[in-house]
Amino acid sequence: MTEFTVFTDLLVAALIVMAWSLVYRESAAYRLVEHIALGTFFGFMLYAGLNTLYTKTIIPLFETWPIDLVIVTAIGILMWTRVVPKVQWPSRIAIAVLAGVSMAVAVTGAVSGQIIQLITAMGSWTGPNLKANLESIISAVATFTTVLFFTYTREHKGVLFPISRIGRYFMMIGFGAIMGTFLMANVSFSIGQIPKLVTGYGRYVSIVAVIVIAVDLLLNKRRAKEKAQHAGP
Amino acid sequence: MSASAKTWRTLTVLAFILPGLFILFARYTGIGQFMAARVVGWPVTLATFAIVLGVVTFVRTHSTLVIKREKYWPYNLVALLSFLLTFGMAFAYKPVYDYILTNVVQTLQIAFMGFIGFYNLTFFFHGTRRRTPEVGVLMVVSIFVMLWMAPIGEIISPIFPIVGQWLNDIPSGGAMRGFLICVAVGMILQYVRSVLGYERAWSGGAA
Amino acid sequence: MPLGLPLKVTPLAQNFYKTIEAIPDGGAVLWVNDQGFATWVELGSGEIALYKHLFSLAQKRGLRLVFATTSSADGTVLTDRTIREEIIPGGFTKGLKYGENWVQLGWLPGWETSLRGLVTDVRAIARTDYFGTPIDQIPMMKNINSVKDLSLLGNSGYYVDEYGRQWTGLGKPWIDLLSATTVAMAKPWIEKGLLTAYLNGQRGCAEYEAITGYRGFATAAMDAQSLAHVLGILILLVPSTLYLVKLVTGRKSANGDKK
Repeated sequence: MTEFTVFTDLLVAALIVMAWSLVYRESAAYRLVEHIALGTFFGFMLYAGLNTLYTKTIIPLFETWPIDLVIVTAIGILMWTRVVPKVQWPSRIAIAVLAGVSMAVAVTGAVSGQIIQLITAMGSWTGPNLKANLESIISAVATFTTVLFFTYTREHKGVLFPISRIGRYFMMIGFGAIMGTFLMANVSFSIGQIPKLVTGYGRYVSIVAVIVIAVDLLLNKRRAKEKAQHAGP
Repeated sequence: MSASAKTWRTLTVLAFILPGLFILFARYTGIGQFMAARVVGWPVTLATFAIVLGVVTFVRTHSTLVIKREKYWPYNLVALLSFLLTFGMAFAYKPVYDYILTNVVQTLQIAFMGFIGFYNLTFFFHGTRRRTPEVGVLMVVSIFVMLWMAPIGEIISPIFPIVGQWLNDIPSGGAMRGFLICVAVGMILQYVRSVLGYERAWSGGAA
Repeated sequence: MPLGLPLKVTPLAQNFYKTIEAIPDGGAVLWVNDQGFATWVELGSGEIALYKHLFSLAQKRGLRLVFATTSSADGTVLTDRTIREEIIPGGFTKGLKYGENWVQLGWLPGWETSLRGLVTDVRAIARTDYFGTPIDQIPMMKNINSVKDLSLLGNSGYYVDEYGRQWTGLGKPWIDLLSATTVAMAKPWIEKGLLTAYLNGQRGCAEYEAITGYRGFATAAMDAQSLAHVLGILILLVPSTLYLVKLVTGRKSANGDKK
């Protein structure tokens, strides 16, 4: 194992321990690592952004000068006027174009993909398999009652009240399913990091961290005791 | 409001409406699809300009805090130095940039996301303290689904993965479909409101 | 702590594998890696197994692979790193050439607009590849411009709806390497085959590794996942059970007092 690997093991373990120190309490170590994360991430984003700007815009622009690329590059440069407050109005045009195009594409997809396709893709109620038919009916009832639950144009009373209530229960089943699957994803982040803290040179960092926390707990206990004594009966 | 501000506002609204409506027109009539495809590619360029703007804002914010010696200014200085080191190394010496990306950026992103794992468990504890029938349903379903996802469920009993998958597929699937339909309808309504001028959030509230 | 629990391969993972195996000889695959650095811990080993599978099919059956990223720049770094550190050293590119058998289009920020562009007119979205080469100079891309020229669409990441909105109704199979957080949202899409197949989180990745034989971190993590899930269930059940016991004993003693 080279010195470089040792340094890497120690660095990675130290960063993880400092980040996770927030679970104990906010400290200088956490604040430090938070700002390092911020700075390095922005450095990465700027490099990735400039690289993409160069390869996807500047190279094709200077190769063939396509008119649409000329227009969008001009609009993009307008976006940078936001830096100067007195002349920032043109930047809103660039943001408006970005928002308008993105929303239009999302809306076309929402109509065809998310509404029409999902409704027509619902299972048949009259197939040869009874189990499949029953499941399709349950699924359709769940869909219908959930949509009614989100209908706010009428107050949920009369016949609408029990239907929206059923929709609420179906949504609770849906959120229960999400909650159940959530754990696997979220625990995987911790599982991925723990080997770095318990194997190799990282375990020494973990031992130091445990000692620091233990000392901090003891000191806090002593301070609390002294405070109580000074406060008096 | 001054005449120039009104002009800029009108231009902003037109900049929002026209490209979007052109895309919709090309999609549903088939006319102008070649040009519409190019307009759809505009965010690739605009997003990169936005990223540069975002980074400039970051540098400006943290520099101001350092210059004014605000509370915790040394941390802002650390943020700026980390940024300069990472960005500088990307051009100066790529192996160091790759090292920072793998061992600092990626490690810290995973570590911060790791909080969600810890807080997920405390959320389980706090979330189920409110005892209502809905929470009871939520709890039972999440237990079955957890035992479907984890291999240990099959070991405890083969019923758990069967019921867990059924709950995820049938009632939950139906509810999620309803939810997705509502989200899509909401998205369409939001766009219509924006085009008609009732929503200006996308322009930073420039109404 | 290794428990050695057996992992049953479910039809979900088998369908995912079969969908890839069903690509015709010489077919083109579009794979969008929209993972972040953080999600790589959950889905990364599955993605590595997938790339090995795709590249081995490229060697055997002449598949053409197009890689892109549409949301965060992380994905493009992860794709490039996987190809440089796992695929090329592992011999999976033997007999293959960049530009003729696989292309990395790089980061195409814009997410849904880029997803739409990739299936309608690639040249409008990606005028160059990740390395700056004009797309018209890449031999493989001469015959790939829209979804008509593709045999399979695939993506990995946290979300499913955005891909469903832009990629369904095109007549091509679509597969997803999906984070466990959004598995519940995938069911409406998979019901009638809008989404052909998906892998459900780290569990799905472990099953896929078992099928392909390219075992990785996901397989190793399954025992730890089982223990974490047992802990989660105990945290859910124990306070509720104690509350129920308290409720019942409280009622009994109240009835006893009344008598």
